[in-house]
Amino acid sequence: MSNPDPLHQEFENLVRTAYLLSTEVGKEVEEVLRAGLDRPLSPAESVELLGKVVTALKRNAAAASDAATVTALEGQGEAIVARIVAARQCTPATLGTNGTAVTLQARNGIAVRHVQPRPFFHGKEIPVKEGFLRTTDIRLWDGNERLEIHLAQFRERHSRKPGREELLEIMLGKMSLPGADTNDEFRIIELASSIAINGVRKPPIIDIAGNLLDGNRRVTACHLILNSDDYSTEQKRRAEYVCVWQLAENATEDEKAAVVVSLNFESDCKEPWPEYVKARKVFEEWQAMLALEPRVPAAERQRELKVQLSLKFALGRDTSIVNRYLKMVEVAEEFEEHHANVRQQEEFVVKHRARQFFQYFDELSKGASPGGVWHTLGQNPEYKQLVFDLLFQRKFKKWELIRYLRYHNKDVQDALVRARDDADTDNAKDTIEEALTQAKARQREPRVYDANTRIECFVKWLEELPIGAFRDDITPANLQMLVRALELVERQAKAAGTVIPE
Amino acid sequence: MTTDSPHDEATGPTQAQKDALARASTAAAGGDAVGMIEALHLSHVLDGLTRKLTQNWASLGPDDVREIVAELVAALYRKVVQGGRVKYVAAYLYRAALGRACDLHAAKKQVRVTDPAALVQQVDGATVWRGPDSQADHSGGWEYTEAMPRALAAARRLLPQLGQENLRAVMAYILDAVEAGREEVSNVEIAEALGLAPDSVRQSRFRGFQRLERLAREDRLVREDFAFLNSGDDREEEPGE
Repeated sequence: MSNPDPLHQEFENLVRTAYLLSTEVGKEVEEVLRAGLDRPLSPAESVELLGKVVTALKRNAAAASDAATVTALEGQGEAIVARIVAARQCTPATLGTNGTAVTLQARNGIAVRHVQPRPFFHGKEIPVKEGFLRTTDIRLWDGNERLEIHLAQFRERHSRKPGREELLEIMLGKMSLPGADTNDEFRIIELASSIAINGVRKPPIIDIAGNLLDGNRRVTACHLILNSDDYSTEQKRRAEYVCVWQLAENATEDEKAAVVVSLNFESDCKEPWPEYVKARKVFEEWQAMLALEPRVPAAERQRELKVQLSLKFALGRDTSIVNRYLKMVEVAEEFEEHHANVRQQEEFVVKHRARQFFQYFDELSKGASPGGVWHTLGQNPEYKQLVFDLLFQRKFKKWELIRYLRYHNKDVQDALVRARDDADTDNAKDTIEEALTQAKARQREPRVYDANTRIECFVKWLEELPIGAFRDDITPANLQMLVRALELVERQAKAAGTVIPE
Repeated sequence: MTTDSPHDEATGPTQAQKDALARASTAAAGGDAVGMIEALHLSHVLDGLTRKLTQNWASLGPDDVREIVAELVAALYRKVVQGGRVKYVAAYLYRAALGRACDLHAAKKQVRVTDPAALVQQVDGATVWRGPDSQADHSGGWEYTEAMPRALAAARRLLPQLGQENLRAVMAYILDAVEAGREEVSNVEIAEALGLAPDSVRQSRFRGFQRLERLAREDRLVREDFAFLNSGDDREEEPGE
């Protein structure tokens, strides 16, 4: 072969690249994967091929001065290939279909072991082994009671049980089943966020054939992590292998049932942290993050930081919870500051009260734009302090009343002052409820019940207006506003079936 | 207990294959060459590529096929470990396999390809496709490299002569995708981006490459005997110019 002109070679490569890049290969790739399953290489063929793969990798790594890869492959090509080929031969990807046992693996120096002391499930002492399995080798349980309706629906539509991938689709809400919730019904995304950070902390439980008795959500979440671009390489590694507990070969159906009952009916008495604590943690971390910024971060940077913050606390990429927590803590801090500094209350009494009423701060912090609760309170510091006082005194009968604080007027403020000063808490609660409920009702009244009276007055006034006023007195902006309003009236009148004279 | 096996699915890769391919990518990104090989082997993609290449490229012997597959895996690893993104490992390997196989096939100057869907079915006996040196090129021989800017500029200069506007727009889009280092660009994507029907994109693409090749020969941008597209997988869509 003669040495080609460099530009020729470059252009020919470009044509080839462009052509291949834009060639649709989906079907062909499926055929390749299918061919691989239908006509797999024999172990001897695999050894030969993978031997060349290792050699090519070594050669390529050496050319790229990739010492780490060269070292990893150096001098053990045959051993690596033998292990890889053997691993596929006994891969449990299809084990369990014919009753074959799934074999647990050691990993990261942790050997397969019998769990001691033997755990109890629903009062039965049941021997289990602990070890690792690839996530992809664990079979979701098609007898999962959680999926009872979905499975029955699937069987009715397809006259068969769902396959492995179909079960996964059902768990992820990706399968179209009429009436079924497609919005992450089993809260897999939230769980995946946690697993991505911590790995699977509670071992799923499988039977000897690899069927899951407990942990379908955890394993599904691992699948989601492995197949989603939202997770990093490190996070995918955490989901790649799962530490599981496996029942013994001779486990009875009663024992399997005991595991299911124990883990789904008996509470583990775990009490999650109250939101006050979690929100405080998030808030403190947020402050620390801001402190590391060279300047006050702009909105875009703040959004990035909040995503980091949310991920850090296993809350996923959606920052809505983080935003909510930050606002709640800001309001709580104002509350605490008011009572500690203005009302001279004892610090920890105030903190306890803030914790007890933390959910109220969620409602208080809503509506930062005009007409909203937080905006209304911000416009009137005395009113805000009054509300803080009433909260401290536990004088709001129910949290919904917080929403009505935006209907602020003098009557409301007077009533709230009376309530604050009333030593009888029950009376005070009634006063607040009555004042706020009435304020809300009054807000609606003029808009609805007085509509006819107002229109009559306005039309009468408009008709009596001298024509010259439109030219001399009414500003163009107001005139435009009036035209827009009348156009709206015309549309609504037509929609209501009113005949409009020409 | 379910009784599904990888073989009773109608079409498409199994979940285990998808997972294994994803794992291969993850391992490569983490610099774990052995983990990548292991995952690729578990996915059976290497088996499938070997079978397909052997079946479709009769001119290639078993050793050639193994060499090609080994090079592809090494190229995939190099790309990913250097921070490149490969979203669809199997598609990446398949495209690279087409390029490599065509390269080797042309070099051997033997024409006996049996699969009508193969990228190059009848390579002119005189055509010698000199692909990049496999030792030096980590891309698998079909991706944009820094050595292409002159060719890209030359190709873009030819765009106005390619024909009607849609055809030029389609080819410009593909060249942009090459320059951006894209892994693939589908007819549907181009159609959506340019507001055309996918069928129109398919035809424009075919004609575009055919004319680009002809013009390149006329302008001596390629060797006189270069005829990469003297036939191709889209031939049936060519309206018979």
